[in-house]
Amino acid sequence: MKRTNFLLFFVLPFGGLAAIFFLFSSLNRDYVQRKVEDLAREQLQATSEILRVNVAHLLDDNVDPGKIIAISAGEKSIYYLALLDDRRSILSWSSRYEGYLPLSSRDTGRTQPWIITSPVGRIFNTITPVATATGRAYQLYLGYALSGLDSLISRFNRNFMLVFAVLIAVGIVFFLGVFALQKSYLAKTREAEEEKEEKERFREISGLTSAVAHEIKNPLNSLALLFELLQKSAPAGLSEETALGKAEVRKIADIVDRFSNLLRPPRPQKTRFALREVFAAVHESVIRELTKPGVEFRYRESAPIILYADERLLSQCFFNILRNAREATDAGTVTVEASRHGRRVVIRVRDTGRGISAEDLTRVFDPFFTTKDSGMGVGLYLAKKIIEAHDGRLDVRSEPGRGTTMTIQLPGGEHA
Amino acid sequence: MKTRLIRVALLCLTALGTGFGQTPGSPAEPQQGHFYNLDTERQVEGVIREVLFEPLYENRASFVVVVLEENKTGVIYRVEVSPAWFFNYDLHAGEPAKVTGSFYSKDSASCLIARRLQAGGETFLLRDSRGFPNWRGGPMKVKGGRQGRGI
Repeated sequence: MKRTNFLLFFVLPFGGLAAIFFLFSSLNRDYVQRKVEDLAREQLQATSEILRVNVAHLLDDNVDPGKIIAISAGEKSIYYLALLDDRRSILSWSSRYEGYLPLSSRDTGRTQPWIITSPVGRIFNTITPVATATGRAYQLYLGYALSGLDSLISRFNRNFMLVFAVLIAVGIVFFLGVFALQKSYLAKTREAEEEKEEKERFREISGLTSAVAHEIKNPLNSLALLFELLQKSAPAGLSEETALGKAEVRKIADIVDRFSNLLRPPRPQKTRFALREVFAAVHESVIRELTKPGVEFRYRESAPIILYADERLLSQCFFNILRNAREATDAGTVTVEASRHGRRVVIRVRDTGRGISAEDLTRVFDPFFTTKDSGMGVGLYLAKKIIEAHDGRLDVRSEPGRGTTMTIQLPGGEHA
Repeated sequence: MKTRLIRVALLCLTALGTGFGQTPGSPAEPQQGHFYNLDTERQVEGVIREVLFEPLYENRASFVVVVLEENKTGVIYRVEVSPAWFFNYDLHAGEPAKVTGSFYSKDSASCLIARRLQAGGETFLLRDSRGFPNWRGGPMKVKGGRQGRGI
């Protein structure tokens, strides 16, 4: 998938959703915070009012200001409390913290509550006028803790961040999952399309080959009959030549037959056989066809392997691969290593030959592709077809100048 | 009778207040005495004449009190520094010091509640800009006991 598509279809919608959630939650959080602050303000005003009434009564009773403050400052939420006279001088005060009464001359004229921050959290401050029955005017300065509110808001924020983080994580995992699924789906689709194209090409080649073979064989048959007749009625001096001509015509017919048989889609007829024995037989055939004294053949098995597959087709496949390996190696070794992993059998045919260039490597399994002077370029193509007909895989790796490794993976491995 | 009613009302108030107002840490007894008055903040530079330990606040640890003689005027100040456990730097008589703090007078003596103290080449922050003590929460919360040092 293209980077732009990924951005458009995954990152952008997810980012949008996350942004909407963030915006909605932030608005909601602000609303809750405002409401809670209003509630706290109302509670503070109620507290101030109760204190105001009580302090007024105590002042009416001529109770000492110090004692009034001592009585009134007992509540846990009150951080500090002070009683001021009509000239705004502090008559008495009390604080939970040593010497802490953050009231300056700038604050004494305030009529609305105000908030100050301190290391123990925010503190609501208010100055309430107190009037006695005799008409004397006082002011009550109150510092009220908002630590409960602060912890409530911070818990709310923490929970919000947690939910947001979980949402982001879940979203990322979800979208990565979808992305991975889509990627694998696309890869499989592409693979299926390639396979379909390959089959179509194979069908066309096969059809063409059959047609060509048919067209060639008709005149060849006539030619064979003609040579038959010639041989019977030919003068004695020409009998040898007519026999040779007849043999050559038969040879051409054989080649055409073999060629058209080769390009038929392989249909495996499975039996059980020992892999080592098949390779031994194939190697014998290769040696008969291609004598190269400087090339050593080695066969290694992790344990004796029995394969449930089409022996004839696989012999043909191994023959093509081994012959190619031997052809590519002037002096060195051709090694076959076979191992079994459960039911899967892995066979590596490694040669120390010329190797294949990177450009040619992509085409080695194409039909009629060859770098040799002789040969039709169908050997590896057929080998791959045979392996795929067994639901296996054939891969190639090569380093020019150092050799080539063909890796065959086949199902159907069994205990010996 | 009226005082009893007021006490009952205050108890109700205490019950009401638990919703939002919770004092962090252990609840402390309300403190009285002289407070850090922002209007009387001043800076005094002088020489330490004496270092004392006095229980300035009820039910609280002893405070370090420094007797400081101002260089310019020769006025003697009693400087309230911090609880002794919080201030573990050794001040010595004869050592020069500079104090920023809130001034008040008591029994015709000049006193300062220190917010910042500079001595021995170090600066000790004892209270914040509004006078809140930096040793808030007691020795268990302020680990190391030298929170004011390091500037």
